[in-house]
Amino acid sequence: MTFAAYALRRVVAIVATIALLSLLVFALLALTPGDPAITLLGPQNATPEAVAAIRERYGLGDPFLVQYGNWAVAALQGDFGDSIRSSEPVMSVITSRLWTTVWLALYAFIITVVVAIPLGILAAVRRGSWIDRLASSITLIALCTPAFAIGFLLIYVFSVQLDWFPGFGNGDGFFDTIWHLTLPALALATLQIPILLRQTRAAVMDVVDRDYIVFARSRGLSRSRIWLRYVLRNGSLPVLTSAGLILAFSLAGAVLIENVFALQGLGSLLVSSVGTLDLPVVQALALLTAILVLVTNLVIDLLYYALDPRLRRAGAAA
Amino acid sequence: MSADSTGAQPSRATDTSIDEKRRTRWGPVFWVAVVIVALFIIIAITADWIAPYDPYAQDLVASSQGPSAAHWLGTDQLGRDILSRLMVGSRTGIIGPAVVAICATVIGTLLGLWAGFSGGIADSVTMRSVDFAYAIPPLLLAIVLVGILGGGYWLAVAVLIVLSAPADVRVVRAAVLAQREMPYIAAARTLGLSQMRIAFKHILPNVAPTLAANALLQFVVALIALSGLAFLGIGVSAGTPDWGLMIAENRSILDLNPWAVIGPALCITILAVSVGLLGDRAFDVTTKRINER
Amino acid sequence: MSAGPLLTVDDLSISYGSRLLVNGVSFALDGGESLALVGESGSGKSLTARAIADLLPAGVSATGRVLIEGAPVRRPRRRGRGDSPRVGLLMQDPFTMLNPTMTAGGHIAETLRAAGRPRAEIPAEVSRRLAEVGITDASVARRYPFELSGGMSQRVALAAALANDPALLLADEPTTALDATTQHEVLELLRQVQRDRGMGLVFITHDLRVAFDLCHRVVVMYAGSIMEEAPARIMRRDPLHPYTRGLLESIPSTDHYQGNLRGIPGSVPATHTVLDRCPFADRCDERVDACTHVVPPLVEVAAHHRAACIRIGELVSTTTATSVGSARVTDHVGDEVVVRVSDLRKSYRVHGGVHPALDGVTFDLRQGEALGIVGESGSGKTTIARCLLGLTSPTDGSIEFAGFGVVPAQRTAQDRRAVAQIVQCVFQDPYSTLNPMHSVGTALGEALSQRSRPVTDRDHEIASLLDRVGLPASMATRRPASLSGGQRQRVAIARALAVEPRVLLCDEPVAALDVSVQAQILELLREVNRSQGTSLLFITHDLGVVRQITERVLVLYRGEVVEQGATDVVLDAPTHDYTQRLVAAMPSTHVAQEA
Repeated sequence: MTFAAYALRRVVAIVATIALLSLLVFALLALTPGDPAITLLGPQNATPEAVAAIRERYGLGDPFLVQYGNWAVAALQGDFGDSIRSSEPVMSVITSRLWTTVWLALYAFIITVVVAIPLGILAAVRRGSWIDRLASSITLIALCTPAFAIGFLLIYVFSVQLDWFPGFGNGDGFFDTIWHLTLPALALATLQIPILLRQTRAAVMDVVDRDYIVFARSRGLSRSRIWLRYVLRNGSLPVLTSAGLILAFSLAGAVLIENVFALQGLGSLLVSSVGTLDLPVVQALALLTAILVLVTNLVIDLLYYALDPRLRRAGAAA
Repeated sequence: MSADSTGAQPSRATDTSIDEKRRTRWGPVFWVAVVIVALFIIIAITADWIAPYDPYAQDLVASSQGPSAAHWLGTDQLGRDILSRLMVGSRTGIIGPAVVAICATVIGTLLGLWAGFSGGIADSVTMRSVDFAYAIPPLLLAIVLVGILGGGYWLAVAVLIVLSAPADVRVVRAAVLAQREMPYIAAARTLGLSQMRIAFKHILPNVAPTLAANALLQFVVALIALSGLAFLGIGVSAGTPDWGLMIAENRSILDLNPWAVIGPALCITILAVSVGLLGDRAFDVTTKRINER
Repeated sequence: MSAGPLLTVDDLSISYGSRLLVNGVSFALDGGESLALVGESGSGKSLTARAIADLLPAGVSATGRVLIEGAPVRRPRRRGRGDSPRVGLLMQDPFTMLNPTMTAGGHIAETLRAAGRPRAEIPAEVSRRLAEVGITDASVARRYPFELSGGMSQRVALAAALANDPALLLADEPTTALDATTQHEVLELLRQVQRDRGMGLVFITHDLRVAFDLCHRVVVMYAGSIMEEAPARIMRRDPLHPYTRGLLESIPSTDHYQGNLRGIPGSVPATHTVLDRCPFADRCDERVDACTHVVPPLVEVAAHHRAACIRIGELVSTTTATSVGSARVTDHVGDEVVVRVSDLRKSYRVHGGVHPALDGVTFDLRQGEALGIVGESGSGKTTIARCLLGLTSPTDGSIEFAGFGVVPAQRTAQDRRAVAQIVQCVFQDPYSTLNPMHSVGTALGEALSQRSRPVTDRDHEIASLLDRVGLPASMATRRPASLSGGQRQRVAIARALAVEPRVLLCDEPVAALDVSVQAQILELLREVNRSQGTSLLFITHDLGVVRQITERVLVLYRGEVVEQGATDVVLDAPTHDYTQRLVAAMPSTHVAQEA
């Protein structure tokens, strides 16, 4: 099987998964207690004429699968209907909030990678030293602390007490946005660092004990060569997976963080949409998140294929 | 190599042997964690008697106060005593996560054993649904499901059970598959023992330390998720003394009485870290001890 | 050649934390000379090699001196130092020694670069180096380790280890993980390279036969100390130390049948527990009181011959008794066929193709008979075992058991129970053959519950089973982790015997055990076979074991039986080409034979 065939097979599998997921996401409407028409309109707007109109528009009298088909066809074209709260198209509601979350996720991801990977390597190399123990203690604490607790702690210390950074709001312009996003990104990174740090430490520890490292040292290879070509190259795959998933899952972390810091991003949009039963927005967000996670998985799989000669050759031979 | 070139080694060697000991003994940190968890449980049981105030009693004259002799941790916006609310709050903080951890572990273990053992279609169907559950971050799914279904503490607990079980299914199935290749399992099959006996007498005991550690970890995850939902106003109903909800309700008086926010945050963190530590150590020590006996 | 010795090891001690692992070892090696370090597990031989290369694992420290050409070895700590190490290392497992993400040629090229070769010369040099280790196929350089066979990987590793032209090569069991015929080829290659380069070689092995065949001198280590050191020629003919003798007697002979297999009783102690005494005293037949409270010094007993035993002067004249051949006992073999295997086939799907693991195997096993199945990895010998035990279903062919009939391909629960009472198995790895969570008593009790004859007094039965395999009844409360490898294998045999099977299938039951323990287990299995008339189906790669245990043998090659017949006939006069190669690859145990 060639790379293209392998990639194609994975893409087909993912498209199938997305199709099934979209069915479940659509079924959320049916799960909602009460009349779907009233749900879609919002109780305050539910005049009999409006109800009749919405039934007509969404074909609510049709069989479930027909409704789903209509919805899916529209969704494929980027049309998830109108937001109940704002009456704007769902996609424009989402795009208006998108960038805050993207910046937050990237900012946090950079902090995470810069802190977690070197620290993980250091902890693995100095196994059992005070650095390792400190890293693993902090990791455990961070892993067990809720995002909003970290958020409020940061606000209390850096905003209320020290007044270094703003405690809430988005900010305007690039530098002001960075300025405003620093504490939220730190809070989000605190959630992600332990995961990546543990993974890095485990991956490096797994590699440094291997025979091929001893054999490489016995042949007088330089330290830098052993580190780059042996340890990092062979230890990179699990770290890569972990990093990819962290990025894909940052929306989940953003939900709580955006709430704590009163940021207008996708996370707070989801919470307020769930709170007001703004179903079209919820459906779109759920589906987009799932697609993000699945596509990230796909990219990781394809990278594995490229990085690991075993997979590459096995694919080429069969 | 000469004597002096290895002179730097001994200090590292002693480190390693200390490290070995650390791994086979429970250690003081473990016992501190045990005491903390026990304290939380005792407080949860006896809160009605030992709490200095009625957690629901409002006193608008004494609202948003900092710590004082009368109110050790101050009061919230409605003048309710923070310390009393923290004590009663340990109930929703312990019961729900414990139910999630136990149920998810039991369901996950049974499904994992079944999938790992029967293989074939049973295995594929189970594993595809597990993969599926992983496509959306569990916390997001919990927010959407609990929110849309109308909210509530026990609904949140139920949803979290469903969302946590897949992790156990994976762990148990992977363990079953690894164990199935072990010669002692081949020996048990050669003896003609029944599948049930092999699953429950041979495989399960070997997976048990992992499961116990995993259950404790599930508790931590559930505690964080439940208080997160409460914080977002999706879990427990308004006014309930619950740590997550208290943070949300008191966030606006962070500058007046920081303890109204830091108190519940600390409760969640201390309980979660203690339980997480138990899980970590329990896993290390039990696996190490089995291998030494 | 420089004036002094190439390698000097002087009072080398190695410890892990406060635990001593190697206790004051000294020896020397001249340029162009080869020295074998022989020992069982726990002897400290591999750590000694690692210390010589200055590559001890983290947490392990050494004292004493190691000099190469008079100077201490140091690994380069920084880039671009230019002075490449004068010691090379070759390790045991060819599959874990090479970087999985680097090509074969890449390993050699990077070593050449590290040794300061100009870049332009490297491609030509890589193929020259591959040719030196017998690889002329240019495409090998571009292959990844997972695309190479074990023997090929080991050759590539050797070329990489030699790329910086070390004055001394340390080879740590480099052929142990390989099949017999490949093992033979790699040993020949190593001998040739060592001779052609005039390089010093320290060869670490557990196999005295290989040591005698390959090296000029042999150092025997036991529990962290040197027991005996002598030129190979002399030690082969005239071993002095009781341990060396015991070790030699423990090796099952490939040449002739031995009436009594003498192992060394007990198992290897930990170095730090025997610091104030002769480490071998507890297992020694020649022990006197002084042995347990005096450390025997390593003294020169003849020219170039050193031994550490306080009774060495009195023991010189003792001869080894078991080297004499004995007549085979066959009166326990009956006529009834207990297992009949007809045209057994099994194929696996790999990468869309079909790989036949068994290609029509047919044989009978009679009551009380011991039948050997010999083959290398991939020959299908373990697949036969798995089919018989019902651990996998054959693709085609039939298996028939006496008193049961033909077994259906898909066994029901009742089939499994019934077959369990006919055939039981002893597996290879003693460390995973027992469930770590079950005590010995629990394991045996569970097995007893599967026996057809009712068990009246369970504890008594467990005690008598333990006694049967030479273990004390008190063992019943122990967990596997506290038992030695040999003890675990005994428990595994007791577990199999608990069911009172008619056939005992042994899948390489001694391959993972120390040499001195192997003979004990083989003797036990032989005794089970003879006294109870239990048939043995004995799967192994070791022709010595086959010679001692079995009356009849099947030689399996790529899923087919290529030769079969009486064991002595097949081994003495093999007719098939593959059997001939197998027999030729075996190192000789004949004591009188000269190298």
